[in-house]
Amino acid sequence: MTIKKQGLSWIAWLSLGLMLTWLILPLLPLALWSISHRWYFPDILPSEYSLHAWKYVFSDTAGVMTALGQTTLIALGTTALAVLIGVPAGRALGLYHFKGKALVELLILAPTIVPGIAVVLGIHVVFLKLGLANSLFGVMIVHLIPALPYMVLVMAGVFANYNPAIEAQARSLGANPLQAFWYVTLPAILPGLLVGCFFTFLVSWSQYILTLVIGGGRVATLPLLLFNFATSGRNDITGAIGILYILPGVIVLVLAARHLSGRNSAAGSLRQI
Amino acid sequence: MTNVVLENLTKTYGQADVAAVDNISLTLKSGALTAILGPSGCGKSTILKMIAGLLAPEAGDIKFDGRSVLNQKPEQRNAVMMFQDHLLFPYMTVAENIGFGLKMQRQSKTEIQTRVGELMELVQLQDLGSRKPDALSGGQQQRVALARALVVKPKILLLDEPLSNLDAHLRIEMRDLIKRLQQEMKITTLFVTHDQEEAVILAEEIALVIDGRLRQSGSAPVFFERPKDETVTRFFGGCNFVDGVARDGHFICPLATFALPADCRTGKGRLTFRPENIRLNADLSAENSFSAILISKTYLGTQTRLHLAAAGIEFEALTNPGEAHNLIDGAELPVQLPKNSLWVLG
Amino acid sequence: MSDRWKIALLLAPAVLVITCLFLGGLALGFARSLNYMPLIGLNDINLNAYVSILSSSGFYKSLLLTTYISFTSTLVSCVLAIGAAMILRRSFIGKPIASFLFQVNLTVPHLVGAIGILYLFSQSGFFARLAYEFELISRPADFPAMVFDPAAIGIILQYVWKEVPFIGVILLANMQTIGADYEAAARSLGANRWQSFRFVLLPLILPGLLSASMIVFAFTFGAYEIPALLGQNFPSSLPVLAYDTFTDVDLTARPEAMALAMIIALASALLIAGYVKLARRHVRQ
Repeated sequence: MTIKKQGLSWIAWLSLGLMLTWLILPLLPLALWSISHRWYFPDILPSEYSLHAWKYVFSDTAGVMTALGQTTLIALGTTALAVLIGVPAGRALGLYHFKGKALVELLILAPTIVPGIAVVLGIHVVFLKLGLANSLFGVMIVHLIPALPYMVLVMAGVFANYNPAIEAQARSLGANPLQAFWYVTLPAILPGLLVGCFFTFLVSWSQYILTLVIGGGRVATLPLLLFNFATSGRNDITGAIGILYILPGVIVLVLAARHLSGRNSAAGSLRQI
Repeated sequence: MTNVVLENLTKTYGQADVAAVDNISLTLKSGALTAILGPSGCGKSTILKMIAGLLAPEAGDIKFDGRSVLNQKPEQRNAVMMFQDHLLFPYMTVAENIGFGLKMQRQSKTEIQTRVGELMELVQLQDLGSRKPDALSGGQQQRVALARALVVKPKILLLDEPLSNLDAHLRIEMRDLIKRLQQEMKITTLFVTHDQEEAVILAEEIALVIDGRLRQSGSAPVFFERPKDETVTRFFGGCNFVDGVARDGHFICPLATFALPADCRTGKGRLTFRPENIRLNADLSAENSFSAILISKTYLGTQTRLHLAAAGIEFEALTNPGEAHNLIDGAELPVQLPKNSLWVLG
Repeated sequence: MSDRWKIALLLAPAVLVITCLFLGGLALGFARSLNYMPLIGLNDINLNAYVSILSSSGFYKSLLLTTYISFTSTLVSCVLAIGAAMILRRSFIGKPIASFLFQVNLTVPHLVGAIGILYLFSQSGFFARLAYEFELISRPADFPAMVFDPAAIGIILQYVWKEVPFIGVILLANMQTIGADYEAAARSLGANRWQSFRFVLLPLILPGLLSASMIVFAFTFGAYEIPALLGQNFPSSLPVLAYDTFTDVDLTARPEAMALAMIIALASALLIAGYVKLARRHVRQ
């Protein structure tokens, strides 16, 4: 009888169930492999479990912890650079209309569309000459290509809803420029800034080909390690590294789930991961 | 021409047990324009959506020409709703918007073209067929929305505050257009508004809904002359209430003993009289006259509102500014409440 | 300080960084693809790399495969994402949990998803084992090849897995802004459920859908690690071909790698241009 039903038909429930199962399913074998000791064909579940893979991952000699540290360091460094460079640009794009704005926006958007491999092969030789290749700092810099646009876009969105008059108000009440920034501007943009940082961090965290080319094998981040283990058939260790690798993103998502849903820019920013 | 009957219609929203529409029964005269009047957010739109089939009632029935339509989907009811913010499809031209309903019926292109042409002429938008909605003024947009609704020859036209987003002069223009088209086409029309004046001017019948409940229905004068209770009286601008007893065609209260119209109730009650019906400077020996003191006056432009008191009871009267000009605060004024302007509430 | 200077100063670092790294990278790649790189003593401009690529059948096979993968992944993802968004926009019991689960892989890197697909669909993977359990196959080799296969099923599955939530979340936000009233108006004007989807909701979400598809197409066209992990060796997808050529021991192959990179960049540039044109037409009318 009802036209606008609350709730779903059984077909919708079934589709939804299948869809969500499909979205979670690929993550399960990783988790299972990470705690399996024997898991041969045709066993559906491991025949023996152990924490061997996890012990390996956390051991000093395996290099996984070093990779974790390097990945984190690079992602934090990229994020810091992106904040310094991207926040002012976001402010300009969010607050002002000016001649050539569309062109600047296109320039900043372009790296999010043009694949990294098309850019990084050309950069390599110059980085080599500059001594940036095969170094952490070089990788950090090159991660800016995909990461910086997201910081700028998120901050442009933040500043589009920001009234700069409150800074003038603070100044007229006796704050110097630094105080005005610290006590007025920063608190106002902080939530958006954190979102931008999260995305920038994740974009850097998940880079593969840029790190591979510029790091030249000397900079071993988690995804590089993961790829090597995956192709060498060490499924248990692959599983453990894989779980370790997705944790930061999933944890933040759990914490921020409520704030993220429905945010356009949020979804857009998760693209390059 | 379709006769529409709502029977004990009820709808609650959310977890709260607050009924958005509470047991409303109403008959819409076929071919007439009925207004649902009430303050904002009192479930008026909900009634329209239920008639259109966009919401399902929890209880009660909706009948078109005696037949329940609860089992019919919105597209089968031919009860077309026009929303407050026109909701023109932004990616379609004006002509495409107007022809939308016919396209859904899979009418031929030529038929659609002819009908759309007729409707555009009817709402005086002949030359704007190829424009996009965002290139139109607010008034034009609303006229397109009206044409889009009328093109399918609806059994019932449901108008949800169609004038509230318009400027004052556009509002009058649109109001007259709706009234003219409705009378020409004789479409049973239900018109939702929070504006008492709009309802009075447009509607043959008014249903006053407050807090989801039907308070009173009838033609416009009924609400001014024979309101059902104090809430209704106040909604229509009544502000004078005096407690007392009605007996033998008279109302006995501290002000005076007043002669009443014949259809008034008897027993304990509350006398009400509209401020614009009070006669000033009356002959104190005339029927229903007494002496009052002017406390203060408020200049309203076209009228002046007088705040009066007698026997410790305050009441208000409206008069023209010229007459009020000579009155001084504290002056004693003979006033008369004409017999036919009195009414007793329960 | 005038606004113009202020704007210029605010934008300068970002524009400089993107120009140097991004445009610079493209320019250097282009120069190298023409065999021009004075930095390492190459001054002789020629088109040999392009001639060599465009005359090899392997390149066309790679191009075709890559286009096929991108097109199929984008199309399937769009259809599923629309369906998912249509369900998730309604209110039902457990919606917050469903919405969360729907978004959870947004932060999971592609590579992890690719490994998951590998463990699910390889010939000794979960589904092969399931098939064996139900006696559909008697040995791993009987299971249809879904990774390292010519039809690139594994790669497409991975992209669909990752992109459905991406497109879906964009569409959901879109639908939230649009609200349900346009469809209600259409239904009241006599459109049935399908018609109100086809003629009202779909056109309304089309701009969002188009921009999301463009992003997905461009990404799937240029991604390296997924086809590198799940794809067959020959023909490989363009990015894999480019990287393999780049790391070839024979350094004379470098210009060819750069030329391949340029072709990938050109494809995405065309995509952007096409999108801008489409978007403009949509806005103007």
